[in-house]
Amino acid sequence: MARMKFLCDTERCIECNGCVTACKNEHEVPWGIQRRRVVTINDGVVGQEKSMSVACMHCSDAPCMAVCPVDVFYRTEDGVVLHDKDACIGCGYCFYACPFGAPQFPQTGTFGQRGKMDKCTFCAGGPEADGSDAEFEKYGKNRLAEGKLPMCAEMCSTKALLGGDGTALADIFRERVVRRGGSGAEMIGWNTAYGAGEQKREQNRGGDK
Amino acid sequence: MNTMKTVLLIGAAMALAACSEVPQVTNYKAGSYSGKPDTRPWESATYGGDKALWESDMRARARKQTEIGRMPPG
Repeated sequence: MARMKFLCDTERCIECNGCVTACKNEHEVPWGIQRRRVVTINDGVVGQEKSMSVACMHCSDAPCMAVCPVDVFYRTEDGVVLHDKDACIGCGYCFYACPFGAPQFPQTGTFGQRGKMDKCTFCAGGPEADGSDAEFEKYGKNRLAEGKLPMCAEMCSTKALLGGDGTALADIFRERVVRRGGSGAEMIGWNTAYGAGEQKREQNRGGDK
Repeated sequence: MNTMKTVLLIGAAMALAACSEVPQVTNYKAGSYSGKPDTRPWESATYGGDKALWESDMRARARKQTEIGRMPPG
């Protein structure tokens, strides 16, 4: 098995925020914490609007792990980046290091002090007994231990957001690209994943301006 | 005069001391995880340590995310 990954197909994302809602509901994420969010660029520009669901990308070489002064991060065998909240000091270094803005900090104190970091766990819980109350309280549900994929991906109505074994996701995405008429270098390029796809081709054909 | 020489010598020594070359690059050491150990997903009650079963279940679940191939080509 390869590594667990998320992949968001911007040609399919309709900015419904179903993934955000699914995540919040599944893990009972408190107010002010956004483990996942949908980012839209060129909002309102016909034919150029792109939405993408973003959360922790469970990096292979995670910057949060590199900068953490108390080393609370660990990577599981299946490539999920998790952390131990008991040891977290809430310094916020990981927030500055993360290119995706994934680490979140609850505003627990009277003066808005930072609490312990919270982020997407790929629905893999944390370093507490699987399925225990302590695990749910701190990290949310552990769906991976139940043989399920992350809730956000499984709930995605257009299947724009895919989650799971990187090899399986690559196969699914390849099939889609081939159907869209991609070939050669187009199969693996940035444009295929994040732009110049079907909407662009529609424009070139003289479709919706 | 001797006092002046002494002051100048001490002054020169202090001024030159600031010119020493101190390494500016820090050598970072990779940290090691300091938290509690975690169990692996296939060690849960559902799978009881059967990694192969867990992996095949995850692959099957991942494949369910595509609609391509579900219907025969019409």
